[in-house]
Amino acid sequence: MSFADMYGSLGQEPHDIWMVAEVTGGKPTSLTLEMIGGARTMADGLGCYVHAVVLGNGLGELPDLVAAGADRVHVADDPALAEFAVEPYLKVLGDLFTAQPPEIVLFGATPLGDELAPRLAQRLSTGLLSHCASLYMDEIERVLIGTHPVYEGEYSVVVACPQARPEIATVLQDAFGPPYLDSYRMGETEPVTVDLAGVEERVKRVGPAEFTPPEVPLRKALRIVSAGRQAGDFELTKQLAGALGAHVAGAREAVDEGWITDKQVVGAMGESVRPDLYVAVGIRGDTYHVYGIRDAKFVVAIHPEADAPILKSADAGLVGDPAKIVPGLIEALQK
Amino acid sequence: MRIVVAIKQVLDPRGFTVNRKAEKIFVNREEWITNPADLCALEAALALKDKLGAEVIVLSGGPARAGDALRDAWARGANRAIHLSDKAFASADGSVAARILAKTVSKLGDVDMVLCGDKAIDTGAGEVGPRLAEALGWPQVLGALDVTVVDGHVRAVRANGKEYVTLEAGLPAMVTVSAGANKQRYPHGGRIMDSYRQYQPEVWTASDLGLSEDELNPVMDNRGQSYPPERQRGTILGSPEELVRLLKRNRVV
Repeated sequence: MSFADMYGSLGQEPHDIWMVAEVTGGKPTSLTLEMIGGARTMADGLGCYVHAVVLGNGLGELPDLVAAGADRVHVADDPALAEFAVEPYLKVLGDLFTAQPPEIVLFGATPLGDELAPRLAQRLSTGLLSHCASLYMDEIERVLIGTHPVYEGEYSVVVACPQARPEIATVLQDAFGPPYLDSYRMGETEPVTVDLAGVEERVKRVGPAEFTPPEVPLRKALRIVSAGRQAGDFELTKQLAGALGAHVAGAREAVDEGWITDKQVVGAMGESVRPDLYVAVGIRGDTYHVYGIRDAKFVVAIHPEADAPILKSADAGLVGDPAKIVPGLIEALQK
Repeated sequence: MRIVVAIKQVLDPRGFTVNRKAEKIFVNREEWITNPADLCALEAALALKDKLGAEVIVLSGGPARAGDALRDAWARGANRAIHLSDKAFASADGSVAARILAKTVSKLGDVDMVLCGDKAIDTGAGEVGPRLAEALGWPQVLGALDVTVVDGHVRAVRANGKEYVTLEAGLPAMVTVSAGANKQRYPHGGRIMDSYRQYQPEVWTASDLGLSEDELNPVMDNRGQSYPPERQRGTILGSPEELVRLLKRNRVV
Protein backbone atom coordinates (compact mmCIF):
# COMPACT_ATOMS: atom_id res chain seq x y z
CA MET A 1 0.00 0.00 0.00
CA SER A 2 1.43 3.36 -0.91
CA PHE A 3 1.70 6.41 1.30
CA ALA A 4 -1.07 8.23 -0.54
CA ASP A 5 -3.50 5.32 -0.08
CA MET A 6 -2.81 5.25 3.63
CA TYR A 7 -3.58 8.93 3.86
CA GLY A 8 -6.78 8.52 1.90
CA SER A 9 -8.10 6.06 4.45
CA LEU A 10 -7.12 8.26 7.37
CA GLY A 11 -8.79 11.38 6.01
CA GLN A 12 -8.25 14.58 7.93
CA GLU A 13 -8.05 13.09 11.43
CA PRO A 14 -4.88 14.25 13.17
CA HIS A 15 -2.37 11.48 12.74
CA ASP A 16 1.35 10.73 12.77
CA ILE A 17 4.27 12.12 14.68
CA TRP A 18 6.03 15.11 13.20
CA MET A 19 9.26 16.61 14.31
CA VAL A 20 11.07 19.76 13.26
CA ALA A 21 14.67 18.90 12.44
CA GLU A 22 17.55 21.30 12.92
CA VAL A 23 20.59 21.16 10.69
CA THR A 24 23.95 22.75 11.40
CA GLY A 25 26.83 22.55 8.96
CA GLY A 26 24.93 20.24 6.64
CA LYS A 27 24.28 17.66 9.36
CA PRO A 28 21.31 17.12 11.64
CA THR A 29 22.04 17.97 15.29
CA SER A 30 22.38 15.13 17.77
CA LEU A 31 19.18 16.28 19.49
CA THR A 32 17.33 16.01 16.18
CA LEU A 33 18.44 12.42 15.71
CA GLU A 34 17.58 11.55 19.32
CA MET A 35 14.10 12.98 18.81
CA ILE A 36 13.57 10.99 15.61
CA GLY A 37 14.69 7.86 17.45
CA GLY A 38 12.27 8.59 20.29
CA ALA A 39 9.48 9.40 17.84
CA ARG A 40 10.19 6.12 16.02
CA THR A 41 9.66 4.14 19.23
CA MET A 42 6.42 5.94 19.97
CA ALA A 43 5.21 5.55 16.38
CA ASP A 44 5.90 1.81 16.43
CA GLY A 45 3.75 1.52 19.54
CA LEU A 46 0.93 3.54 18.05
CA GLY A 47 1.18 2.23 14.51
CA CYS A 48 1.79 5.51 12.73
CA TYR A 49 4.47 7.29 10.73
CA VAL A 50 7.29 9.63 11.68
CA HIS A 51 7.73 12.78 9.63
CA ALA A 52 10.69 15.10 9.83
CA VAL A 53 10.47 18.69 8.56
CA VAL A 54 13.66 20.47 7.57
CA LEU A 55 13.68 24.16 6.79
CA GLY A 56 16.56 26.00 5.24
CA ASN A 57 18.26 26.86 2.00
CA GLY A 58 20.58 24.73 -0.09
CA LEU A 59 19.99 21.69 2.08
CA GLY A 60 21.80 18.67 0.75
CA GLU A 61 20.97 15.03 1.24
CA LEU A 62 20.14 14.17 4.82
CA PRO A 63 20.27 10.36 4.93
CA ASP A 64 20.70 10.34 8.74
CA LEU A 65 17.13 11.51 9.27
CA VAL A 66 15.79 8.39 7.57
CA ALA A 67 18.42 6.18 9.17
CA ALA A 68 17.37 7.39 12.63
CA GLY A 69 13.75 6.46 11.92
CA ALA A 70 11.91 9.05 9.82
CA ASP A 71 9.47 7.61 7.29
CA ARG A 72 9.13 10.82 5.42
CA VAL A 73 11.37 13.86 5.25
CA HIS A 74 9.70 17.10 4.20
CA VAL A 75 12.22 19.58 2.89
CA ALA A 76 11.26 23.24 2.74
CA ASP A 77 14.06 24.78 0.71
CA ASP A 78 13.79 28.49 0.04
CA PRO A 79 16.19 31.46 0.12
CA ALA A 80 13.89 33.16 2.65
CA LEU A 81 14.42 30.25 5.04
CA ALA A 82 18.22 30.32 4.93
CA GLU A 83 18.48 32.02 8.32
CA PHE A 84 16.10 31.20 11.14
CA ALA A 85 13.33 33.79 11.23
CA VAL A 86 10.13 33.41 13.21
CA GLU A 87 7.50 34.60 10.76
CA PRO A 88 8.49 32.65 7.62
CA TYR A 89 9.24 29.47 9.57
CA LEU A 90 5.93 29.75 11.36
CA LYS A 91 4.06 30.28 8.10
CA VAL A 92 5.59 27.21 6.48
CA LEU A 93 4.93 24.99 9.49
CA GLY A 94 1.45 26.39 10.04
CA ASP A 95 0.49 25.70 6.42
CA LEU A 96 1.96 22.22 6.55
CA PHE A 97 0.18 21.28 9.76
CA THR A 98 -3.12 22.69 8.58
CA ALA A 99 -2.96 20.64 5.38
CA GLN A 100 -1.95 17.44 7.21
CA PRO A 101 -2.99 17.73 10.85
CA PRO A 102 -0.43 15.91 13.01
CA GLU A 103 -1.17 14.07 16.22
CA ILE A 104 2.15 15.04 17.79
CA VAL A 105 4.70 17.72 16.93
CA LEU A 106 8.15 17.65 18.52
CA PHE A 107 10.58 20.54 18.66
CA GLY A 108 14.00 20.61 20.26
CA ALA A 109 14.22 22.79 23.37
CA THR A 110 16.59 25.07 21.47
CA PRO A 111 16.28 28.79 20.65
CA LEU A 112 14.35 27.75 17.53
CA GLY A 113 11.94 25.57 19.49
CA ASP A 114 11.50 28.17 22.21
CA GLU A 115 10.46 30.78 19.65
CA LEU A 116 8.34 28.62 17.40
CA ALA A 117 6.63 25.99 19.56
CA PRO A 118 4.56 28.31 21.82
CA ARG A 119 3.51 30.47 18.88
CA LEU A 120 2.52 27.45 16.82
CA ALA A 121 0.61 26.06 19.81
CA GLN A 122 -1.33 29.31 20.13
CA ARG A 123 -1.96 29.43 16.38
CA LEU A 124 -3.36 25.89 16.42
CA SER A 125 -5.15 26.45 19.80
CA THR A 126 -3.46 23.59 21.51
CA GLY A 127 -1.27 22.85 24.50
CA LEU A 128 2.48 22.78 24.85
CA LEU A 129 4.58 20.36 26.85
CA SER A 130 7.62 22.54 27.20
CA HIS A 131 11.22 21.62 28.02
CA CYS A 132 10.51 17.95 28.55
CA ALA A 133 13.32 16.11 30.31
CA SER A 134 11.41 12.91 29.66
CA LEU A 135 8.60 12.18 27.30
CA TYR A 136 6.60 9.03 26.82
CA MET A 137 3.40 7.83 25.23
CA ASP A 138 0.59 6.53 27.37
CA GLU A 139 -0.68 4.07 24.79
CA ILE A 140 -3.87 3.17 26.65
CA GLU A 141 -5.03 6.76 26.83
CA ARG A 142 -3.11 7.69 23.65
CA VAL A 143 -1.74 10.77 25.34
CA LEU A 144 1.77 12.13 25.42
CA ILE A 145 3.10 12.58 28.96
CA GLY A 146 5.99 14.95 29.55
CA THR A 147 7.91 15.92 32.66
CA HIS A 148 9.69 19.19 32.88
CA PRO A 149 12.01 20.44 35.59
CA VAL A 150 10.90 23.46 37.63
CA TYR A 151 12.60 25.61 40.27
CA GLU A 152 15.92 24.97 38.54
CA GLY A 153 15.59 21.22 38.73
CA GLU A 154 14.38 20.86 42.35
CA TYR A 155 11.59 18.68 41.08
CA SER A 156 9.60 18.16 37.89
CA VAL A 157 5.98 18.59 36.99
CA VAL A 158 4.21 16.00 34.88
CA VAL A 159 1.94 17.42 32.21
CA ALA A 160 -0.26 16.15 29.42
CA CYS A 161 -2.53 17.62 26.81
CA PRO A 162 -5.38 15.12 26.58
CA GLN A 163 -8.02 17.06 24.65
CA ALA A 164 -6.46 19.19 21.97
CA ARG A 165 -4.46 17.98 18.98
CA PRO A 166 -1.68 18.24 17.96
CA GLU A 167 0.21 17.68 21.16
CA ILE A 168 3.23 19.95 20.84
CA ALA A 169 6.35 19.33 22.91
CA THR A 170 9.80 20.83 23.15
CA VAL A 171 12.38 18.22 24.08
CA LEU A 172 15.61 18.60 26.04
CA GLN A 173 18.81 16.83 25.11
CA ASP A 174 18.98 13.26 26.49
CA ALA A 175 15.20 12.99 26.96
CA PHE A 176 15.39 9.99 24.64
CA GLY A 177 18.33 7.66 24.40
CA PRO A 178 20.75 7.77 21.49
CA PRO A 179 19.07 6.69 18.24
CA TYR A 180 19.81 3.51 16.39
CA LEU A 181 21.04 4.58 12.98
CA ASP A 182 19.99 1.95 10.46
CA SER A 183 21.32 2.94 7.05
CA TYR A 184 19.12 0.26 5.38
CA ARG A 185 15.91 1.88 6.55
CA MET A 186 13.67 3.15 3.76
CA GLY A 187 12.14 6.58 3.72
CA GLU A 188 10.81 9.15 1.30
CA THR A 189 11.92 12.71 0.80
CA GLU A 190 9.40 15.23 -0.37
CA PRO A 191 9.73 18.94 -1.12
CA VAL A 192 7.37 21.30 0.64
CA THR A 193 5.75 24.05 -1.41
CA VAL A 194 6.82 27.27 0.23
CA ASP A 195 4.40 30.16 -0.11
CA LEU A 196 5.68 33.19 1.72
CA ALA A 197 3.62 35.87 -0.02
CA GLY A 198 3.01 38.74 2.38
CA VAL A 199 5.15 37.24 5.13
CA GLU A 200 8.15 39.18 6.30
CA GLU A 201 10.33 38.78 9.34
CA ARG A 202 9.62 41.68 11.67
CA VAL A 203 12.58 41.31 13.99
CA LYS A 204 15.85 42.43 12.44
CA ARG A 205 19.36 41.75 13.63
CA VAL A 206 21.13 45.08 13.84
CA GLY A 207 24.58 43.85 14.81
CA PRO A 208 26.76 42.93 17.73
CA ALA A 209 26.17 44.71 21.00
CA GLU A 210 28.10 45.68 24.08
CA PHE A 211 26.58 44.62 27.35
CA THR A 212 27.91 44.20 30.85
CA PRO A 213 25.66 42.10 33.02
CA PRO A 214 25.04 43.54 36.48
CA GLU A 215 27.20 42.27 39.34
CA VAL A 216 25.77 39.23 41.05
CA PRO A 217 26.57 38.88 44.75
CA LEU A 218 28.23 35.65 45.83
CA ARG A 219 25.17 34.36 47.68
CA LYS A 220 23.13 34.53 44.47
CA ALA A 221 25.80 33.15 42.15
CA LEU A 222 24.78 30.17 40.03
CA ARG A 223 28.25 28.66 39.82
CA ILE A 224 31.08 28.97 42.30
CA VAL A 225 34.64 27.69 42.22
CA SER A 226 36.17 27.74 45.66
CA ALA A 227 39.76 27.31 46.79
CA GLY A 228 41.18 25.89 50.01
CA ARG A 229 44.59 25.32 51.50
CA GLN A 230 45.41 22.39 49.22
CA ALA A 231 44.43 24.21 46.02
CA GLY A 232 48.09 24.66 45.09
CA ASP A 233 48.17 27.21 42.32
CA PHE A 234 45.38 29.75 42.75
CA GLU A 235 45.75 30.90 39.13
CA LEU A 236 44.49 27.48 38.02
CA THR A 237 41.42 27.83 40.24
CA LYS A 238 40.72 31.18 38.62
CA GLN A 239 41.12 29.66 35.15
CA LEU A 240 38.64 26.95 36.07
CA ALA A 241 36.20 29.61 37.24
CA GLY A 242 36.70 31.40 33.93
CA ALA A 243 36.01 28.22 31.96
CA LEU A 244 32.79 27.65 33.91
CA GLY A 245 31.74 31.30 33.99
CA ALA A 246 31.74 30.99 37.77
CA HIS A 247 32.40 33.21 40.76
CA VAL A 248 35.65 32.73 42.66
CA ALA A 249 35.38 32.11 46.38
CA GLY A 250 37.17 30.12 49.02
CA ALA A 251 37.36 28.70 52.49
CA ARG A 252 38.77 30.75 55.37
CA GLU A 253 42.30 29.44 54.71
CA ALA A 254 42.30 31.06 51.28
CA VAL A 255 42.17 34.47 52.98
CA ASP A 256 45.27 33.56 54.99
CA GLU A 257 46.99 32.69 51.74
CA GLY A 258 46.01 36.10 50.40
CA TRP A 259 44.03 34.66 47.49
CA ILE A 260 40.62 36.08 48.27
CA THR A 261 39.11 38.80 50.41
CA ASP A 262 37.00 38.39 53.53
CA LYS A 263 33.80 38.86 51.55
CA GLN A 264 34.49 35.84 49.35
CA VAL A 265 34.57 33.35 52.21
CA VAL A 266 31.99 30.58 52.02
CA GLY A 267 30.91 28.88 55.22
CA ALA A 268 29.27 29.42 58.57
CA MET A 269 31.58 32.38 59.22
CA GLY A 270 31.11 33.78 55.73
CA GLU A 271 28.44 33.58 53.05
CA SER A 272 25.87 30.85 52.77
CA VAL A 273 25.52 30.09 49.09
CA ARG A 274 23.06 28.11 46.99
CA PRO A 275 24.59 27.70 43.54
CA ASP A 276 23.70 25.10 40.94
CA LEU A 277 27.31 24.01 40.84
CA TYR A 278 29.92 24.34 43.59
CA VAL A 279 33.45 23.20 42.88
CA ALA A 280 35.65 22.88 45.97
CA VAL A 281 39.32 22.79 44.98
CA GLY A 282 41.61 21.61 47.76
CA ILE A 283 39.11 22.30 50.53
CA ARG A 284 39.20 19.72 53.29
CA GLY A 285 35.59 20.39 54.17
CA ASP A 286 35.20 21.06 57.89
CA THR A 287 31.74 21.53 59.34
CA TYR A 288 32.03 25.32 59.16
CA HIS A 289 32.59 25.22 55.43
CA VAL A 290 30.06 22.51 54.58
CA TYR A 291 27.36 24.43 56.46
CA GLY A 292 27.73 27.27 53.98
CA ILE A 293 27.10 25.01 50.99
CA ARG A 294 24.24 22.94 52.40
CA ASP A 295 21.86 24.31 49.74
CA ALA A 296 24.22 23.87 46.79
CA LYS A 297 22.57 21.70 44.15
CA PHE A 298 25.67 19.93 42.90
CA VAL A 299 28.98 19.81 44.73
CA VAL A 300 32.21 18.72 43.12
CA ALA A 301 35.28 18.20 45.32
CA ILE A 302 38.89 17.92 44.23
CA HIS A 303 41.25 17.00 47.06
CA PRO A 304 44.58 15.18 47.33
CA GLU A 305 43.62 13.22 50.46
CA ALA A 306 41.15 10.37 50.00
CA ASP A 307 39.87 10.73 53.59
CA ALA A 308 38.98 14.42 53.32
CA PRO A 309 35.44 14.93 54.71
CA ILE A 310 34.40 17.05 51.72
CA LEU A 311 34.59 13.98 49.48
CA LYS A 312 31.87 12.31 51.54
CA SER A 313 29.44 15.21 51.26
CA ALA A 314 30.17 16.00 47.61
CA ASP A 315 28.08 14.66 44.74
CA ALA A 316 31.21 13.89 42.80
CA GLY A 317 34.79 13.80 43.94
CA LEU A 318 38.18 13.53 42.32
CA VAL A 319 41.11 12.42 44.46
CA GLY A 320 44.48 13.81 43.45
CA ASP A 321 46.65 16.86 43.28
CA PRO A 322 44.52 19.81 42.06
CA ALA A 323 47.51 21.14 40.12
CA LYS A 324 47.26 18.02 37.92
CA ILE A 325 43.49 17.54 37.86
CA VAL A 326 42.30 21.11 37.26
CA PRO A 327 44.07 21.60 33.88
CA GLY A 328 42.56 18.30 32.68
CA LEU A 329 39.14 19.44 33.86
CA ILE A 330 39.45 22.78 32.07
CA GLU A 331 40.42 20.94 28.91
CA ALA A 332 37.52 18.48 29.22
CA LEU A 333 35.07 21.35 29.76
CA GLN A 334 36.22 23.20 26.68
CA LYS A 335 35.88 20.15 24.46
CA MET B 1 4.00 55.60 25.06
CA ARG B 2 2.23 52.90 26.93
CA ILE B 3 4.03 49.83 28.26
CA VAL B 4 2.30 46.85 29.81
CA VAL B 5 4.23 44.55 32.13
CA ALA B 6 2.78 41.14 32.96
CA ILE B 7 4.02 39.73 36.26
CA LYS B 8 3.39 36.52 38.14
CA GLN B 9 3.68 35.54 41.76
CA VAL B 10 5.66 32.41 42.53
CA LEU B 11 6.42 30.51 45.70
CA ASP B 12 9.76 31.57 47.16
CA PRO B 13 12.12 28.62 46.61
CA ARG B 14 13.96 29.51 49.82
CA GLY B 15 10.82 28.67 51.78
CA PHE B 16 10.46 25.02 50.82
CA THR B 17 12.59 21.92 50.68
CA VAL B 18 12.10 19.00 48.36
CA ASN B 19 12.46 15.60 49.94
CA ARG B 20 13.38 13.31 47.10
CA LYS B 21 13.12 10.15 49.18
CA ALA B 22 9.63 10.89 50.46
CA GLU B 23 8.75 12.46 47.07
CA LYS B 24 7.22 15.42 48.81
CA ILE B 25 7.62 19.16 48.93
CA PHE B 26 7.75 20.52 52.45
CA VAL B 27 6.78 24.17 52.61
CA ASN B 28 8.33 25.61 55.75
CA ARG B 29 7.57 29.23 55.11
CA GLU B 30 4.98 30.05 52.51
CA GLU B 31 6.12 33.27 51.00
CA TRP B 32 5.13 34.58 47.60
CA ILE B 33 7.52 36.65 45.58
CA THR B 34 7.32 38.23 42.16
CA ASN B 35 9.02 35.98 39.61
CA PRO B 36 12.63 37.26 39.33
CA ALA B 37 12.55 37.58 35.54
CA ASP B 38 9.30 39.56 35.75
CA LEU B 39 10.95 41.99 38.16
CA CYS B 40 13.69 42.50 35.56
CA ALA B 41 11.00 43.19 32.96
CA LEU B 42 9.40 45.71 35.32
CA GLU B 43 12.75 47.38 35.89
CA ALA B 44 13.30 47.61 32.12
CA ALA B 45 9.88 49.24 31.76
CA LEU B 46 10.55 51.68 34.59
CA ALA B 47 13.87 52.63 32.99
CA LEU B 48 11.94 53.47 29.81
CA LYS B 49 9.49 55.44 31.91
CA ASP B 50 12.36 57.49 33.38
CA LYS B 51 13.86 58.07 29.95
CA LEU B 52 10.83 58.58 27.73
CA GLY B 53 8.04 59.32 30.16
CA ALA B 54 6.20 56.14 29.25
CA GLU B 55 3.12 55.02 31.12
CA VAL B 56 3.71 51.66 32.82
CA ILE B 57 0.74 49.41 33.51
CA VAL B 58 1.29 46.21 35.47
CA LEU B 59 -0.95 43.17 35.10
CA SER B 60 -1.12 40.09 37.22
CA GLY B 61 -3.47 37.19 37.59
CA GLY B 62 -3.88 35.01 40.63
CA PRO B 63 -5.78 34.99 43.93
CA ALA B 64 -6.00 37.90 46.39
CA ARG B 65 -2.31 37.57 47.31
CA ALA B 66 -1.38 38.77 43.79
CA GLY B 67 -2.47 42.19 45.10
CA ASP B 68 0.79 42.31 47.08
CA ALA B 69 2.86 41.84 43.93
CA LEU B 70 0.87 44.58 42.19
CA ARG B 71 1.24 46.96 45.14
CA ASP B 72 4.97 46.26 45.15
CA ALA B 73 5.13 47.07 41.44
CA TRP B 74 3.16 50.26 42.00
CA ALA B 75 5.49 51.23 44.84
CA ARG B 76 8.45 50.72 42.53
CA GLY B 77 7.00 53.28 40.16
CA ALA B 78 4.32 51.76 37.92
CA ASN B 79 1.48 54.11 36.99
CA ARG B 80 -1.33 51.60 37.18
CA ALA B 81 -1.78 48.07 38.44
CA ILE B 82 -4.57 45.79 37.27
CA HIS B 83 -5.45 42.58 39.04
CA LEU B 84 -7.01 40.06 36.66
CA SER B 85 -9.07 38.20 39.14
CA ASP B 86 -11.79 35.71 38.45
CA LYS B 87 -12.63 32.24 39.68
CA ALA B 88 -12.61 31.09 36.05
CA PHE B 89 -8.97 32.22 35.67
CA ALA B 90 -7.77 29.86 38.40
CA SER B 91 -7.38 26.87 36.08
CA ALA B 92 -5.62 28.87 33.36
CA ASP B 93 -2.79 27.25 31.43
CA GLY B 94 -0.43 28.96 29.00
CA SER B 95 -2.94 29.28 26.19
CA VAL B 96 -5.67 30.71 28.44
CA ALA B 97 -3.23 33.08 30.18
CA ALA B 98 -2.15 34.42 26.80
CA ARG B 99 -5.79 34.87 25.80
CA ILE B 100 -6.63 36.74 29.00
CA LEU B 101 -3.60 39.00 28.68
CA ALA B 102 -4.26 39.64 24.99
CA LYS B 103 -7.84 40.69 25.76
CA THR B 104 -6.61 42.97 28.53
CA VAL B 105 -4.02 44.57 26.27
CA SER B 106 -6.56 45.22 23.53
CA LYS B 107 -9.04 46.58 26.07
CA LEU B 108 -6.41 48.98 27.39
CA GLY B 109 -5.75 50.13 23.82
CA ASP B 110 -2.77 52.05 22.37
CA VAL B 111 -0.27 49.71 23.99
CA ASP B 112 3.16 50.03 22.38
CA MET B 113 4.99 47.28 24.15
CA VAL B 114 4.31 44.32 26.39
CA LEU B 115 7.12 43.14 28.64
CA CYS B 116 7.29 40.07 30.80
CA GLY B 117 9.90 37.72 32.20
CA ASP B 118 11.23 35.07 29.85
CA LYS B 119 10.51 32.24 32.28
CA ALA B 120 8.62 31.75 35.49
CA ILE B 121 10.66 29.71 37.93
CA ASP B 122 7.66 27.64 38.99
CA THR B 123 6.81 26.38 35.49
CA GLY B 124 10.01 27.11 33.56
CA ALA B 125 8.03 26.97 30.34
CA GLY B 126 8.58 30.41 28.87
CA GLU B 127 5.48 30.00 26.76
CA VAL B 128 3.23 32.90 27.74
CA GLY B 129 5.43 35.55 26.10
CA PRO B 130 5.48 34.05 22.59
CA ARG B 131 1.88 32.86 22.93
CA LEU B 132 0.82 36.43 23.76
CA ALA B 133 2.80 37.74 20.76
CA GLU B 134 0.88 35.27 18.58
CA ALA B 135 -2.49 36.17 20.12
CA LEU B 136 -1.81 39.86 19.52
CA GLY B 137 -0.14 39.27 16.14
CA TRP B 138 2.97 41.18 17.24
CA PRO B 139 6.67 40.50 16.68
CA GLN B 140 8.53 38.96 19.58
CA VAL B 141 11.97 39.31 21.08
CA LEU B 142 12.75 36.63 23.66
CA GLY B 143 15.32 36.77 26.44
CA ALA B 144 16.24 40.45 26.16
CA LEU B 145 18.84 41.89 28.52
CA ASP B 146 18.51 45.55 27.67
CA VAL B 147 15.52 47.28 26.09
CA THR B 148 15.58 50.70 24.48
CA VAL B 149 13.30 52.55 22.10
CA VAL B 150 14.84 54.30 19.09
CA ASP B 151 12.63 56.16 16.56
CA GLY B 152 9.52 54.14 17.07
CA HIS B 153 11.40 50.84 17.14
CA VAL B 154 12.31 48.68 20.06
CA ARG B 155 15.94 47.63 20.30
CA ALA B 156 16.84 44.74 22.52
CA VAL B 157 20.19 43.25 23.42
CA ARG B 158 20.20 39.51 23.64
CA ALA B 159 22.84 36.96 24.51
CA ASN B 160 24.01 34.83 21.61
CA GLY B 161 26.35 32.23 23.04
CA LYS B 162 29.02 34.27 24.78
CA GLU B 163 28.40 37.36 22.67
CA TYR B 164 25.59 39.85 22.49
CA VAL B 165 23.49 40.94 19.55
CA THR B 166 21.08 43.79 19.06
CA LEU B 167 17.66 43.00 17.62
CA GLU B 168 15.19 45.52 16.35
CA ALA B 169 11.46 45.28 15.89
CA GLY B 170 8.74 47.75 15.02
CA LEU B 171 6.22 48.74 17.66
CA PRO B 172 3.96 47.38 18.99
CA ALA B 173 6.10 44.47 20.10
CA MET B 174 6.28 41.76 22.71
CA VAL B 175 9.59 41.54 24.60
CA THR B 176 10.52 39.00 27.25
CA VAL B 177 13.35 39.87 29.63
CA SER B 178 15.82 37.39 31.11
CA ALA B 179 16.36 37.01 34.80
CA GLY B 180 19.54 38.78 35.89
CA ALA B 181 19.31 41.35 33.07
CA ASN B 182 19.41 44.29 35.44
CA LYS B 183 19.53 45.32 39.05
CA GLN B 184 16.18 46.39 40.39
CA ARG B 185 15.56 49.61 42.20
CA TYR B 186 14.20 49.63 45.72
CA PRO B 187 10.72 50.97 46.17
CA HIS B 188 10.52 54.15 48.18
CA GLY B 189 9.52 53.42 51.79
CA GLY B 190 6.74 55.98 51.84
CA ARG B 191 5.37 54.65 48.59
CA ILE B 192 5.26 51.11 50.00
CA MET B 193 3.09 52.40 52.86
CA ASP B 194 0.97 54.41 50.43
CA SER B 195 0.49 51.34 48.28
CA TYR B 196 -1.44 49.77 51.15
CA ARG B 197 -2.99 52.87 52.72
CA GLN B 198 -4.20 54.79 49.71
CA TYR B 199 -3.73 52.71 46.63
CA GLN B 200 -6.02 49.96 45.46
CA PRO B 201 -5.15 47.97 42.32
CA GLU B 202 -7.95 47.86 39.78
CA VAL B 203 -9.73 44.52 39.51
CA TRP B 204 -10.83 43.19 36.14
CA THR B 205 -12.88 40.03 35.84
CA ALA B 206 -13.78 37.72 32.95
CA SER B 207 -16.97 39.63 32.26
CA ASP B 208 -15.05 42.94 32.15
CA LEU B 209 -12.87 41.42 29.48
CA GLY B 210 -15.75 39.78 27.63
CA LEU B 211 -14.24 36.31 27.84
CA SER B 212 -16.61 33.39 27.50
CA GLU B 213 -16.35 30.13 29.39
CA ASP B 214 -15.13 28.27 26.30
CA GLU B 215 -12.22 30.63 25.89
CA LEU B 216 -11.15 29.96 29.47
CA ASN B 217 -11.05 26.18 29.14
CA PRO B 218 -7.50 24.94 29.71
CA VAL B 219 -6.11 22.32 27.34
CA MET B 220 -3.27 21.20 29.57
CA ASP B 221 -3.64 18.70 32.32
CA ASN B 222 -1.38 18.60 35.35
CA ARG B 223 -0.52 15.01 36.26
CA GLY B 224 1.43 15.58 39.46
CA GLN B 225 5.10 15.83 40.17
CA SER B 226 8.10 13.67 39.68
CA TYR B 227 11.30 13.85 41.66
CA PRO B 228 14.88 13.40 40.62
CA PRO B 229 16.68 10.41 42.14
CA GLU B 230 18.18 10.87 45.58
CA ARG B 231 21.57 12.50 45.65
CA GLN B 232 24.37 9.97 45.69
CA ARG B 233 26.95 11.65 47.85
CA GLY B 234 30.50 10.53 48.15
CA THR B 235 30.91 9.21 44.62
CA ILE B 236 34.58 9.16 43.65
CA LEU B 237 35.25 9.48 39.95
CA GLY B 238 38.29 8.38 38.01
CA SER B 239 38.97 11.22 35.63
CA PRO B 240 37.98 14.81 34.77
CA GLU B 241 36.31 13.54 31.56
CA GLU B 242 34.04 11.33 33.63
CA LEU B 243 33.17 14.34 35.80
CA VAL B 244 32.26 16.47 32.78
CA ARG B 245 30.03 13.67 31.48
CA LEU B 246 28.30 13.44 34.86
CA LEU B 247 27.80 17.21 34.97
CA LYS B 248 26.28 17.16 31.50
CA ARG B 249 23.99 14.27 32.37
CA ASN B 250 22.75 16.18 35.41
CA ARG B 251 22.30 19.29 33.23
CA VAL B 252 24.65 21.24 35.49
CA VAL B 253 26.76 22.51 32.58
